[in-house]
Amino acid sequence: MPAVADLPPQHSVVIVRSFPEAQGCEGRFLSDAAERATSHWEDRAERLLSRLNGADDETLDYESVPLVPVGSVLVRYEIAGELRPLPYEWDE
Amino acid sequence: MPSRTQYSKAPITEAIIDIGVRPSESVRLDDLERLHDSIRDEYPGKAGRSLFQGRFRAERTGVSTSASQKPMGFLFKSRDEKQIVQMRLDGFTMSRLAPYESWKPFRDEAQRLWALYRDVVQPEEATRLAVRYINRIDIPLPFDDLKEYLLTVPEVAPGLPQALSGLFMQLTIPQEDIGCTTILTEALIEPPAPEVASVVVDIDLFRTERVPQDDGKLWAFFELLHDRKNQVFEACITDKTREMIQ
Repeated sequence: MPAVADLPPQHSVVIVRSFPEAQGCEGRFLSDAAERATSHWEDRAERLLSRLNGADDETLDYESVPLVPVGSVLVRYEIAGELRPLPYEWDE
Repeated sequence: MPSRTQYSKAPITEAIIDIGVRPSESVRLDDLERLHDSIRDEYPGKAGRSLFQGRFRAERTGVSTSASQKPMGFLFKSRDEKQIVQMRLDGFTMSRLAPYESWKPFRDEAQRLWALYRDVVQPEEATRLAVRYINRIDIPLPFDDLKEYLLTVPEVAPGLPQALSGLFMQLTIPQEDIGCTTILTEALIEPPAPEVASVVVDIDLFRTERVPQDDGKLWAFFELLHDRKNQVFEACITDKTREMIQ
């Protein structure tokens, strides 16, 4: 059965974003899944860690963890023009 | 860990060789773009690579957000789009999509392109070496236990239903004897046919400390990474899987 390696905690609990960046569909699927798992974990860990550190929820001087670049994406935007609501059948 | 034999139906969907670098301060994106001239015949496709960063900041005076986009390099694709090389300011990545022939031609091509990249970028140092192999294993349905095919699988408590409709598992395994780390990721993905279940086995093996700087030692280290990757794969599969991909 697995055990936890004798390393600093951050080495054993971090969910690793897929790197190096894959180009195939399987690799991209894994990158998305890792990204979702990371956000899920960070969302919860952030609250747990702030409690451990005795942070006061009322203060507004919270410094977020610096974002780590995870890769690059190519996006293409198209202007769709003015949008109108879809027709709606009013059922009397 | 067991040693490796060559498989005629190797389930590799993508192989990657990656070298992270700290570039010299004088290198510019134009220099990387000019590299395309020397490989255009084999890699006619070209696309830019950018780094997106976002920031959300809560202060007493209010909340602010910012985002930035920074061009980082280029991606060049072979005519059949199976061979893809990324030449960025922060590193070099070579990908081979299926069908994957074997390590030697893949490594030789990566070595050739790395030499062109290195001459232009003149990296201050190599910061990371990695090989990553993504395999898709199509398991014929029905089967009782994933362990019939894979030896690294999640353990579900005996009192729970054993059928999984989703799986994403990532293990970070130090390889202390060679100063590396393996990220082993497994996931269930959409199968290519209804009579199989597809499991992705992704082996990412890398070193970020004491990275060899001399080219000869660097490529010798890639041999070591590749051998270890094979050992990890062999350790993860069963004889039933071996028969399937033989």
